[in-house]
Amino acid sequence: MKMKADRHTVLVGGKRLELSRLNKVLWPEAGLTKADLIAYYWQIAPRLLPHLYKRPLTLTRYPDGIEEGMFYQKDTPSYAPDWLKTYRVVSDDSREIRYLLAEDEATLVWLANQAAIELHPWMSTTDHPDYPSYAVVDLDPATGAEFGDVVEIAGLVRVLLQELGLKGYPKLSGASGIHIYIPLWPRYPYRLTSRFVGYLGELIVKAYPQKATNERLVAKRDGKVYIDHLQNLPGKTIVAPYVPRPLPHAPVSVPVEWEELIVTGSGRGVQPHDFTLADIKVILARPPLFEQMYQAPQSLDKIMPLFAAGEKEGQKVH
Amino acid sequence: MRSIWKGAVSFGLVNIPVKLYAATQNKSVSFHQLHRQCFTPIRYLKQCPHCQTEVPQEEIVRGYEYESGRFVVIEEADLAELPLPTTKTIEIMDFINLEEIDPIYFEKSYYLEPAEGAQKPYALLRLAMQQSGKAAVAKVALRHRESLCALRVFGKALALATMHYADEIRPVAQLEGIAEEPVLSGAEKEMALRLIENLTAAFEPEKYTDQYRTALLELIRNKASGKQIHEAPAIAPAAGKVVDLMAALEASIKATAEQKKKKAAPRSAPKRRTAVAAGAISTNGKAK
Repeated sequence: MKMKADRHTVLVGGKRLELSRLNKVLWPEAGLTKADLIAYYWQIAPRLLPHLYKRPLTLTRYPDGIEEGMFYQKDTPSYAPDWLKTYRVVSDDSREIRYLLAEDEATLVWLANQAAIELHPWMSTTDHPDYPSYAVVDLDPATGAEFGDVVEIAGLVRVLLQELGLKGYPKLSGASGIHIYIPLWPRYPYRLTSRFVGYLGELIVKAYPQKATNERLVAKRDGKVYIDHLQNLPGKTIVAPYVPRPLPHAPVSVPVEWEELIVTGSGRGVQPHDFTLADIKVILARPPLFEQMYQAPQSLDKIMPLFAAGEKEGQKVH
Repeated sequence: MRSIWKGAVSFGLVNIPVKLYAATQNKSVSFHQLHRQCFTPIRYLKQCPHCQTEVPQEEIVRGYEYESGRFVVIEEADLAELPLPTTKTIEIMDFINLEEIDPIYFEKSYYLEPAEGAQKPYALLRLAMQQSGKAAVAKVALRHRESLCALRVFGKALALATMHYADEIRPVAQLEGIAEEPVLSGAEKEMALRLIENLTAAFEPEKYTDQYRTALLELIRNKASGKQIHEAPAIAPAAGKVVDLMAALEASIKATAEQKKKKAAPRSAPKRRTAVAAGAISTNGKAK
């Protein structure tokens, strides 16, 4: 879906939107333009929106394409249309941030027109801002490690979660790693979910020091898979499912089945860049794997003594 | 909030009547001392060893020990007569850039509120300080001393922080451990810098909480409501679980290794690309 004209006024969900610089090339190597990004976000909306509902966003914007400068954006700019939904966070020194909430197609289209390639939602919703609704195990291969190693470590995370009576949902990060989401009741503060993931990491590093590391120093991770639990601290975010990445072929972070990742026999497992922006139809044809996650929040109460001895149970929320 | 001081900010010919409020409150939990036998709060007695009697408050005066065992008595009236303009004014002396003051100088913070009718000059001073980006160095007499202080814009208010005088800051040179400069290699420096870079975040004060206090209050609440205190589960069962988890991990690692061996064995067979991942096939060629 390529548009010829560089400007366009469109009507999305009853909202009038002025689209500009549509021919701006965002992914030079793949030849994908801002029009492609807008078309992608518009079409993926029904898949993506459930993961953004009530979750304040941090954006990464690439106004001149992925090879040029980028910036992070939390605060909604004053020129943004007034129908955009925002969530105010006021800090003690009266600094106010108006986080954007993307809860409809029109907002996604507006964001894409801003060249906001990546959307990073909070792990908590505005209902319980201090209590994340999932923890994420972020697996990232250091230089020298292969995707096969990441898959192997992901397999260990899965085994560990099974032993603990928990279910994890994997997705391709879109870059070179895997993100495993563990849905939780929103009553454990970020500090605890981060500690929980830190504990998983420690066990895996202990069992498999040849390939896994939780070393904070990049230089010391060499050739291993980094298990990042700090990503679960407040203010940190993980790219949402179905969001494209600012990498050469516009790979997309896509939820996958464990069986697609960990393939027995002679089959080929899913690879990090199997899904790109251009594969929107393929992505839409896949089952919405992550949606069931929100229906199945899990409790950490029983296993809390393992990683947070002495800590009382999570706060009860009605 | 109750104001702790009333006076005026003065600079040049301008006088802005203000009230001073404490800007911070310490939230640590305080205890009473009780007599274990009867749980009665302990009382301190002020007594005179010479007269061998308890001394009531009205018989107590303030004395300064100017040499060992010799005192001069300073009465409340003497203090009131001290020729200090700063007892009723916050006297602005200079405007400076706040970053120039090292945090080591700061003592306690207060808010200034405009007194009746002083809203306008207050707003004007605040605006001017905001736009110029400057803070003021001033003097004020609080609690029997003339304090140096910094006045700055904080949100919609003016805030005042009392400060130490330069001669109250102990010299770093008193630390013997840093007298000699150790030799640092380039790699070490680079590693340290990278560590900082990795841990760099925006300062979000809400992120940090006093967990000791939370636990303490919880303990108090439980005791007060007569509830049984829940102790942290014993270490033993937890340790047992860890062993199980490790065993599960090791079994999995072993299984994977064996599988890899098997896969690697039939080398002669051409690489097959069986479609396994639903939908994953269509784009193989593209992404490398």
